[in-house]
Amino acid sequence: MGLVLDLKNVTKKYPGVDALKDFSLSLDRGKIVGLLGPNGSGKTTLMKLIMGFIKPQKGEVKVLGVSPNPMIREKIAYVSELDVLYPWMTVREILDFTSHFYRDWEKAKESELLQLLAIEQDKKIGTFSYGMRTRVRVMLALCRKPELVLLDDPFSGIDLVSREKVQDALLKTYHYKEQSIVLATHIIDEAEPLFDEVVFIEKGKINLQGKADDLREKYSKNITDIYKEVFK
Amino acid sequence: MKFNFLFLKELKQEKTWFIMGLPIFIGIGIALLLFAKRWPTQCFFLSCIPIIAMPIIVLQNLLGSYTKEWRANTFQYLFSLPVRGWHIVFAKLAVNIVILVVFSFIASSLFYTLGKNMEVEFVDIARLPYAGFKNFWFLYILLIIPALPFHLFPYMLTKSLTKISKLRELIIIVVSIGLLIILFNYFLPFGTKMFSFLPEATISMIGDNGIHTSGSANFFPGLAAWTLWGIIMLIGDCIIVDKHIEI
Repeated sequence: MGLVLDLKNVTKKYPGVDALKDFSLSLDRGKIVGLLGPNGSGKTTLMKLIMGFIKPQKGEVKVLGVSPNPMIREKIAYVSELDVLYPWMTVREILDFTSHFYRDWEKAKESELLQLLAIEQDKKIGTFSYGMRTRVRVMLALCRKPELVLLDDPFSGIDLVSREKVQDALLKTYHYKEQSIVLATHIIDEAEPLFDEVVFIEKGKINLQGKADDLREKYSKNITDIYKEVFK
Repeated sequence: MKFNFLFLKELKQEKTWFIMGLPIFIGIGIALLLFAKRWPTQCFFLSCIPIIAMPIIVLQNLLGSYTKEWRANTFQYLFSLPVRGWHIVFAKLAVNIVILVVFSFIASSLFYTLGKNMEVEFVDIARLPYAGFKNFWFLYILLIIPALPFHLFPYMLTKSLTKISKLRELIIIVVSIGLLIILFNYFLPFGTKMFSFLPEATISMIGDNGIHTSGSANFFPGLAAWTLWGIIMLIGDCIIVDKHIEI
């Protein structure tokens, strides 16, 4: 199967904060992995390291077998936790612009997702609510067939309808056993059915890691309750 | 190909320049030309302002285009695309050069036309077979363009340092510009020597109002050294964006 992610003894420090401390994590291909942890636990830092936006002070990061670089991003889709899209662009413009950079962009998927996520393509992104803008960001990642999808808190701050639509879109476009998804989220109960594996992180370290089913069996609890116990 | 799309995106982002700026610029130009018969000297000096201001405005616009991306978090989207940092730097620089060239051309045409009305003879470089205006405009553009990556460099340098305060950023920019100027002064004799095969130039400016200056200088070797310096700075900008900036 091969590893989709391999981080060895990674340390990332910001002035006054140790975001990740001697952090090691290996993930197999073809899985949906839940990255769970409270605010400031290091989830976003981990995503940024994988994307190559930041560099570790110590340790090694391998994504799809290579060190993060701009060209590997052709095989990765990343949905930031931030509002990163140009407000002056229309949905049509951002779709056209983004599609030029990827060979795996699927036009058919694009039309399907526009309908599924109920996005009006002629509207400017700046006129949308936060929930709608999140739908657009998720859509940009799902119009393709990347080997790795990184979703950084896509359910945070959005309404229930948007959450359900994003979740539906994720499930409908997921290529079972071909794609890997790393989903960082606080809203665990709704995302729980998606997870094959979960990684609990706190203060830049892994607290608990395992297959979702194994953990449920071991603790006789669902993932949400395990989360509450781990971070109480 | 990827560069083209980035360039077009940048151009669209700067469309206000062309939609709003061009009519305003041309309108002011026409007004100055209409009043030129009544107040020739005043109009001529007013027409100098855009020529002096354009490089500063374009430089501010170039730096602002980065600042806006950082503030709006849109850099994270841009850097999530499979593009190299230098594509982004080149696209932003190219669009600002387009703005500079278009607006400076209009501004210098106006300046030149008003000057001709006053019978001012402009910069004339004897060894080039061009008319005065061409020389003036080309030299203006050639001197200004390398200044853009030169000033961008210290800005990029500060952005490569994570989470620094605005005051520190300003201090670093000012100090780095100072150091780069000192460094350029050391580089200039070496650069001029490197391009010594280029012709010297005689520059003269003669006007009815008594202004008369002329002289021979290592102008073209100096200009080539300045351009090379701009290219070195541009490479530096690309390396910083590619390797050191953290998003």
